[in-house]
Amino acid sequence: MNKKTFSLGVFSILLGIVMLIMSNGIRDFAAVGVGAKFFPRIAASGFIIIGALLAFQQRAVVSQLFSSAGSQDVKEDKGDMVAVWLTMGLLAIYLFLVPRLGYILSTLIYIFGQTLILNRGEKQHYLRFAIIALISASATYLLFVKVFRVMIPAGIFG
Amino acid sequence: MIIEGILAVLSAKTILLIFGGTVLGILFGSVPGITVTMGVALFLPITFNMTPVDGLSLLMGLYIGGTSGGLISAILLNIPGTPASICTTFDGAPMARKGQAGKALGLGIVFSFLGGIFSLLVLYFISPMVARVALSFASFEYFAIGIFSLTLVSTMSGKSLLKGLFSALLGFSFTFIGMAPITSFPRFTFGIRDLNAGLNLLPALIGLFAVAQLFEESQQGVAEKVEPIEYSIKGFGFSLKEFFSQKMNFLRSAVIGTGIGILPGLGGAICSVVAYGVAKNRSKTPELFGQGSIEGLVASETANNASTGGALVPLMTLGIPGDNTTAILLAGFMIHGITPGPLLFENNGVLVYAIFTALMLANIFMLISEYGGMRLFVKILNVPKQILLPIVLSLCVIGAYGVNNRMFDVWTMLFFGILGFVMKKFEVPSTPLLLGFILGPIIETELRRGLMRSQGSFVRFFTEPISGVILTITIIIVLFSVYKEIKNMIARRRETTKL
Repeated sequence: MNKKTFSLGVFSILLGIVMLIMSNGIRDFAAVGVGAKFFPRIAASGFIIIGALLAFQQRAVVSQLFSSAGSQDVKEDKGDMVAVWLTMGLLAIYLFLVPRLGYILSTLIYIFGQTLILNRGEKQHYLRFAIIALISASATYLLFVKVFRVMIPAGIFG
Repeated sequence: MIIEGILAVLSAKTILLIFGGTVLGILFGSVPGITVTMGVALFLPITFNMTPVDGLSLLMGLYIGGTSGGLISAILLNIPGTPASICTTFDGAPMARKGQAGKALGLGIVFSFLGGIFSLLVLYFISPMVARVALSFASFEYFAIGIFSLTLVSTMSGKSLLKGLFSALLGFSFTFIGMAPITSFPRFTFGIRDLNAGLNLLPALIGLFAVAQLFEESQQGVAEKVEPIEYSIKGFGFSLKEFFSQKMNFLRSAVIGTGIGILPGLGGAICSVVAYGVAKNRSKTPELFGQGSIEGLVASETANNASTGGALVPLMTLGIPGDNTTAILLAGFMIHGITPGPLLFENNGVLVYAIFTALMLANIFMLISEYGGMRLFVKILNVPKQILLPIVLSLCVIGAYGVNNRMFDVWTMLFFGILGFVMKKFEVPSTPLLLGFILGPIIETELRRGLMRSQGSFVRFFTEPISGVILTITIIIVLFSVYKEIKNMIARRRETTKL
């Protein structure tokens, strides 16, 4: 019924195994009680058990579904994954630019780009969005830097 | 100490911060998709440069305003601004459609205020008593409480306990990164120097709750714009007779809200649903529920605001967050070097009573600003999400950067944002991750300390009276949760076979 849950189970098992192997490199230093590798190992075992249960649960359900004639995979509404990839890419570029160009310039570019992505399918008002991006980037900068005295990367203006 | 606490808040600057926090909280709460949790997380870094009283007062204003603000969009847009105002839509929106939007808003605002004040009184009288008991706690008891709190995962897990446990374990595992407690040996740092101090809670929180939401909205696209319903209001919009007819309903809902709020992990949404259900069962006119019943609206709004004081009881007395937002408030205490728990009442009594006063003021400001500034909030509901969300995200960057003034935390925020989005896609709840992240270090440190005291014996954890009782209750809850999960699984299987 749910391939995602099955994959999650497999991922959990793999994660547990990797953690278990990596925990061997931790030095314990414990003369009394438990050391630094105790909890990572408990967690790793937990991942393996939970993963096995998740995978087993789904295996049973999936096999039942296959055995009943006419059963169909439940298709979920996937929405627009391209927009998600674009948002992730834009955010990564934004974070890359913040220390280089500074907060105001990079935020201006980000807000403008993100608004266009979120507004896809509707009429794009480029000038209006650019003005909004400029005002909000400058206003948040002034509010946080001048009023709240929070440190923000200054970039090329620094 | 009480008077000192009250006086600490009564400066123009602090009062202004509480007022500003409350207004901003109402804004965050009223705009659907932007939650109070996100609001409190965003403003945490700003409190760095403030005194603990100022910083925590601002956060309390945000918390109270945000919890109540959800009623505006629930009534005028039929969209709950926060999960806690879901039941408000059931009767608030039908009232608005019948031309009684003003009355619905008036009732919602006044009973939100009364619910908040009721729970605050409970917090004021109960928490010092709980703190006195908790003063005798040592490593054994703290470990037991940490483990007990992990059982709350079952209440936060949604449909699947296993996925909830996976999420909690993932959160727990993130706390292994960095120096190990007691021995300070670096673990899972992969040679990255920035990881030596471990992952900070705040970027993780902003990522999980704000950035993940942006990805979600990007995927779904911005929904068609819903215009708020026009309203007019005279006085508070309702008569004294209508007000007094709700006194029993109010009292019952306030007790339910505060009581459930005290139980860690349940939150305002459950309080509101339970109070709404009980009000319907007790009502002489249950058929009006869902059609614009005053009783339903009052029950929902009283209970969700009554949960605020309740959720602060375990936070302030035991250091255990009552819900998502109080988990962030816990971080708010920590960044000022204050550890909530029984010693808070001993060492920082003035701060405790200052917080109580700030909460009282925030409730009053909430009443005034929601009533007086209603038109402004309605105007903000008109701002399209495609413009609001990118601005909120740029604030997230400021918030994450402000933690340690380094880009590493901002990248951590992005990582947790992607993780939160992927978890949503795999139907893995993110709140247990947060719980694991917060409780992990407490459990590990206290177990290791306790074992050092007991010369490596686990028996002392069960023979110490308080920790023994807590651990026994924990085992019973775990067994019950497993039993319930197996029962649900069998029921699901039967349904699948029928199909």
